[in-house]
Amino acid sequence: MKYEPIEALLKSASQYFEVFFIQENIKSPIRLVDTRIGLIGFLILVMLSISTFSPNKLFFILFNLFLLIILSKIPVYLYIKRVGLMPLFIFTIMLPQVFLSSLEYALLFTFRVFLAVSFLIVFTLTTPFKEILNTLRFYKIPEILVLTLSFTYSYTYLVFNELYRILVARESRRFNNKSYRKIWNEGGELLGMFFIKVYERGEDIHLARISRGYNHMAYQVKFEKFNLVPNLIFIFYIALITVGWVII
Amino acid sequence: MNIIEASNLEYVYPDKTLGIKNFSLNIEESERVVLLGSNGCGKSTLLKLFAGLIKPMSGSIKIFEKDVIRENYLYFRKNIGFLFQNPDDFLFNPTVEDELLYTPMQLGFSEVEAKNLIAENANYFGIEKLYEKPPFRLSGGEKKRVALACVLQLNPKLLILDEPTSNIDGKTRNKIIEFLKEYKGTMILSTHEIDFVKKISNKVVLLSPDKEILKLGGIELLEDIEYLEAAEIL
Ligand SMILES: Nc1ncnc2c1ncn2[C@@H]1O[C@H](COP(=O)(O)OP(=O)(O)OP(=O)(O)O)[C@@H](O)[C@H]1O
Ligand SMILES: [Mg+2]
Repeated sequence: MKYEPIEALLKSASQYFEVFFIQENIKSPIRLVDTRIGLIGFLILVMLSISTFSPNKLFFILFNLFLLIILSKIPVYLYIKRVGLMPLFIFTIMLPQVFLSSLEYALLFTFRVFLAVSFLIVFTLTTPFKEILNTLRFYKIPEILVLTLSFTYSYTYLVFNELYRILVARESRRFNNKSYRKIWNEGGELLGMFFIKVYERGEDIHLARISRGYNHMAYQVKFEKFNLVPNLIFIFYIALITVGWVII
Repeated sequence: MNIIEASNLEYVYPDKTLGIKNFSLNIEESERVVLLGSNGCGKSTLLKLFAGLIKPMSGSIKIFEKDVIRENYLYFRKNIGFLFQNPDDFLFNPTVEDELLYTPMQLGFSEVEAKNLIAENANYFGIEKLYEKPPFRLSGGEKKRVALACVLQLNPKLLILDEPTSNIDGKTRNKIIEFLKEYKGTMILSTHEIDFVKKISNKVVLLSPDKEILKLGGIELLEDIEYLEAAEIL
C-alpha cells in the first residue's frame, strides 16, 4: 500500500509524544532535592548550555549531563527514549544555516539546544509535574501561566492520543489500493476530522473536569520535607559546574 | 425534597441536532430512576442536564431546588457524582492514583485524608494494582472501574451514571449492583440492560426515538412489550 510509510511514521510519532510528559515514577536521589532549589539549579544548567558557542564549554557541560544522569539513577534507555530524534530534528531546522553561515555553526547550535532540552528532560523525569506547578506558584508566576502549562500538559496527551486513535481506526477499516488522488483527499479529511475531534473531546473533558469538582483555587502549595544535606550537595554541584564553565 | 424538577426541557447541540425536547419530570429524594431508550434518544444529554453541566435552551430545571447558576456550582459538584458514558473523556490525569485523588484534592482534602479515602474504594473495585499506570494504558473495563471508583468514593447525594455496566465483566457488574443496592441516596442512570434495571430501580422513564418521553412508570413497565417496542428497545 502506497501511503503506509507516512502513516506508520505519524503513528509512531504520535505514540512518542503521547507519553512525552507522562511521569515514569523514578526513584531518583534528585527527588531529595527541594523542587524550588531544583528548578533554579536546572535553569542555571540550561542557561549555561545556551549562552556559549565554545566547544570546550559545551563538552564540559555534556560531560556533566552524563554525570548527572548516572548520579540521579535515571535509566539511560528512558532518557534516550525521551530525547528521541530531537537532535536530528533541530539539525534539520538548522540546515539552511549550513549554507548561510557554516556547518560548524549549525552543529554547535544543535548541540546547545540538545544540552538544554536534555536538562529539562532530566528535571521532568525526576520531578512530579504537580510539584513543578507548585514551585512556579511559589515563585509567584502568574496563575494564568501556571494553569496554561497544566492544561497543555494534559492536552498534549489528548491531542496525540486522538491522532493515534484515528490512524489506528482508519487502518483497521482500510481495504487497499487507491489512487494517489484519493489518498490525498483522504489525508485532508483525516486532518479535518482530527481537529474537530480534538476540539470536541477537549470540550467533553472540560465538562468531565467540572463534574469532578474542578476548582482552580484548590491547589495548595505544599512541599515535601526539606532535607538539608541533599540540597547542599546539589547547590555545591551546580556551583562547581558554573565555576568550571567560567574557567574553561 | 425534590432532587430534580424539570419542566419542558429542550436542548439543541451547536450543530443544530436536537438532543431532547418537551421533557418534564420530578425526581424525589431516594428515588431510583432509570432512563431507557434506543441509541441517540437523548439519555446522555438528559443526564448532563440533570448534573447541571449543560443548560437547556428552553424550559427550566432545578437541582436540589436550586437554579443552575454559577453560585451553586460548588454545591452541585460536592453533592453530585457523575459518570460519563465514555471513560476516555472522564479520565484525564497522568496516573490512576492521580485520577482517584483528583476530586478529593479539588474539594480541599489534605493529601493524607484523600489517600485514606481512595484506598478503601480502590480495594473494593480491585484497582489498587493499577495505581501507577496511566489511565489510557488500561483495558476498556479497567477504565470503567477506575471511573466508577472516582465517582462513588465521595458517596454523593445524587448519583448519575451513564451506562455504568457497559464493557464490564460479570464479577464487577455484581459488585456494582451490590453497591447500588446499598446506596441510600438518589440515583439516576441510563442503560440498555433490562434485567439490570429490575434489580436496582423503582422508576422507569421510557424515551421515544423522537427524543421525547414515551411513558413513565414503575418497573412493571418493563413487562409491557408494546411500549418497549415503541421505544425500539425490543
Ligand atoms: N456533541 C454533540 N454534537 C451534536 N449532536 C450530538 C452531540 N452529542 C449527541 N448528539 C445528538 O443528540 C442526540 C441525543 O444524543 P445522546 O448522546 O443524548 O443519546 P443517548 O440516548 O445517550 O444514546 P446512546 O444510547 O447511544 O448513548 C443524538 O441524535 C445525537 O446524535
Ligand atoms: Mg448515551
